[in-house]
Amino acid sequence: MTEPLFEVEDLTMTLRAGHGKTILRSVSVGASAGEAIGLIGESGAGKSTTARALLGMTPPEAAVHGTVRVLGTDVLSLRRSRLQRFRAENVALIAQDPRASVNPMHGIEVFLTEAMRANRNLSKAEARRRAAAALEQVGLDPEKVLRSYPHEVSGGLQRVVIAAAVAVEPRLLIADEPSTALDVASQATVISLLRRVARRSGAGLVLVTHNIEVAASVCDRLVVMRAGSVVETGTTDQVLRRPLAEYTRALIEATRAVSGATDRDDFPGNATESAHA
Amino acid sequence: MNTAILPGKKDPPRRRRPSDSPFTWGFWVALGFIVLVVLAAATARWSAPHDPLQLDLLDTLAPPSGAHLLGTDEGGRDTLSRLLWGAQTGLFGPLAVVAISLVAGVPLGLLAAGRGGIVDLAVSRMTDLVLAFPVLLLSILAVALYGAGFLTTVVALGVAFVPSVIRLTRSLASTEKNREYINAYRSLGFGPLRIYGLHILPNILGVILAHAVVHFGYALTDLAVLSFLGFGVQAPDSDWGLMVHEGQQALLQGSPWQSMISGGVIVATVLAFNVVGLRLADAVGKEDLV
Amino acid sequence: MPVLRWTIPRIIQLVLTLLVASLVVYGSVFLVPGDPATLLGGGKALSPEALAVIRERYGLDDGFLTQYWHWLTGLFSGDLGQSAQYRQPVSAIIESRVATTVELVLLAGLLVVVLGIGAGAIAALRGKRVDDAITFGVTILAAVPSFVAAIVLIFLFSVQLEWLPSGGDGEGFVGTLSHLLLPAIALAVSFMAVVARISRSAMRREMVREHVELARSRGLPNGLVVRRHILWNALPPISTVVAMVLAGLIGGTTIVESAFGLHGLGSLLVNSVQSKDFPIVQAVVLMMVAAFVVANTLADLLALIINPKARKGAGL
Repeated sequence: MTEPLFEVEDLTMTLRAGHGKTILRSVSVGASAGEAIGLIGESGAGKSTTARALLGMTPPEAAVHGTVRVLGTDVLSLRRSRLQRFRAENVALIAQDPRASVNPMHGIEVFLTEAMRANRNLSKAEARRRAAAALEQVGLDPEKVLRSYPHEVSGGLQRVVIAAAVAVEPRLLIADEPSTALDVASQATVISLLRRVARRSGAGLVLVTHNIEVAASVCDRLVVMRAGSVVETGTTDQVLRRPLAEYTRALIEATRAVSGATDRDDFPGNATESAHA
Repeated sequence: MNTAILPGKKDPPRRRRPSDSPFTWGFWVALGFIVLVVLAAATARWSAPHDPLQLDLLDTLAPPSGAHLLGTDEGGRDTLSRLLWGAQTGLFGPLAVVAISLVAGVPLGLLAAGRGGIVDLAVSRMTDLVLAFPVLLLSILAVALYGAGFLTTVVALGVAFVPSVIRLTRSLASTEKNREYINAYRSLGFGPLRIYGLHILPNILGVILAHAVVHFGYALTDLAVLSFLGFGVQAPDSDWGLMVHEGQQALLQGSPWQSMISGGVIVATVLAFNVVGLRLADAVGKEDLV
Repeated sequence: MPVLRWTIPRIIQLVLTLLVASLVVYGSVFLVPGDPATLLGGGKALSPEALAVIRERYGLDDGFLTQYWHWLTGLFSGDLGQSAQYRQPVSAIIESRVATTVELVLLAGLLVVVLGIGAGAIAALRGKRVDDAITFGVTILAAVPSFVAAIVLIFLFSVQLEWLPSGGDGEGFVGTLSHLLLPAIALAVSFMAVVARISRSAMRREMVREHVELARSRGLPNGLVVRRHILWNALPPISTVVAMVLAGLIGGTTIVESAFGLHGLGSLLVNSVQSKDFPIVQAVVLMMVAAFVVANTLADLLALIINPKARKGAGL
């Protein structure tokens, strides 16, 4: 086993306001380098909160206990400037709604190049060159897209966001419901694209989704969460074929009921049998 | 590959705790102060310790003392008594301004929203034109034409405030008239007068009145300004803005009492109306008043 | 030129507004009961001969529109009529006073924009305690009319501390600035508070956007995130309010110039109203309205330049 990608140990978060609602309850998750992990569960399960903790982002109104170690760094104890450097060098986030992820007031070029320019002191020309290369990787026409504004590339905007993420060569990609806000056709493209870029770059991937099939098609291991706790962890195959928890079984049933397809061979989880933790 | 999804769910937004009640202690303090000013205006005749116009050339520019709690002005008149009497014009003026702006503005706003088309266009163009004049400038122009005085400034300010009332009413009514229940009334054959008078107006009145309270504070300021410039209430009547002006000469010579105290009363009253108005607007669901 | 597609209609609209405003300002004399000649002559009882001269000069015996046209074309050739009070051409009087007012408005505007947006930004970004303190201060300052601010400032800085003069115009750069500083602060106070309040709420709205969270997740320096992704996006509502504030600043010069004894257009207007010098009143009011309408158009233009989507929509 290689060096650990991240280790979340006993992470608990309680909202200070109101009645002290607990949003995470002693969550422990880990992954090794290059692995793709799926965090699945319904909304409110705490999967987004867990994923964001990997970036050192915690809700301002929450009391936080436990440790989050990413690539050997204890991110929750970092001061602001160190945290900034940690994020700049190691991680990239892909959020749910691409239209909300890109500042509508600036051009796409600014979005793609600003992290490289600010964090690595790249020249405008060099940052632009790398941005163009990243756009090609995600199948967009660099010349056209670099000159556009966000509202002009409505269809391919999530691919722009993915390009921006891979352009900074992160060691950990965090995708938070990356396909949920998209139409059905783009969902498939974005998910397969995500799998491809993560594999090619060798970066680890944390995929947050409520869709178990999406997770299964991309991830080596799955973490099932419910109401702030981890219900079950295992390889994708284990979780899908021999779910231990009643809740996981219900989740799988629900997905099948909606998709209508119960053909086991077509189930994308079958493709991933590698990388047991 | 198969990427059918569960019914599209979004994680709930992770920001903002539920907003606190708009009726904070500040609101109640402000409301209490307003009540106090209203009482002062109503009881000035009995509560004022001296005649506000009584000159006493042997006791001018006196600092606060037992005989004159807030001192005297350069004519020896009792500052406290003048402040109490000044509350009358101080409150009545803005009240009249707001009343004029509502009486003219609300029907025009409803008309513009209800009739649309050419009527709407005409009303909008008129409001645009009046809004091209800074409020104070419009009042000064009126004074130039009709002469200085309380009445001129009140009417001019009332007219100057009409456009913003029209705009507000028009936008609120336009939103409201497309609601489902209004369509229901319309399909039942209710006439526009009944729909607008009995159903739309009562529903938007809260927001309009909250704005009116904020406008009250603005009107108080503008009327005080006009008095300060010598365009509004004329000497020797008691008026807060006029008192600030009358005390300026003494202030330059080192006796700031009259100007400072009357200025302070203006600020406190305007502040109270701002706080109450903004809180009320908050409560009826309209933030970001300007 | 696509720029013109937006600009030309706006300029036509601007010119139309100014034309109608000038019609109102000029025509207002005729709305008053009595003889316009008396009003234009200073409102005093004049001899029939003197009235005849005024009638002749303003062409009062012609039709209204002819007179208006005469006045309007006069404006463009710099002929604004004759002041009854000063016995000088109005244009010469205005020329000698316009600089003071422009400097005063610019200085006050600078204070409003820099301190207002600055305070709003600090309140929005720096935690609850700072926010509460600034919000408290801003609420109070918003209720301070400029003439009250003027007397407080005069008492503190001129009478007590004797740091700055309490009135007059001043010579040279330092002299002018020292004479304009207190008036500009007095003028700016309440408007600063308005801009601070709007900036705070606009920035609070922008800072919770997902793209701001994403920018932070990328490890961008805080200053860059604030400038490029929060403040920049909050500018359209702020610039609209700043333009509205400008109306208040322009009108407010009447107050502070009178309170501080500055010789600008504001105090000229107040004196002319008092002495019923109507040609001056008309000219100054129209100039102030024009400045305000132009500023509003510029604010709209700024909002367009900032927002690419609106820019495309406007055909720029």
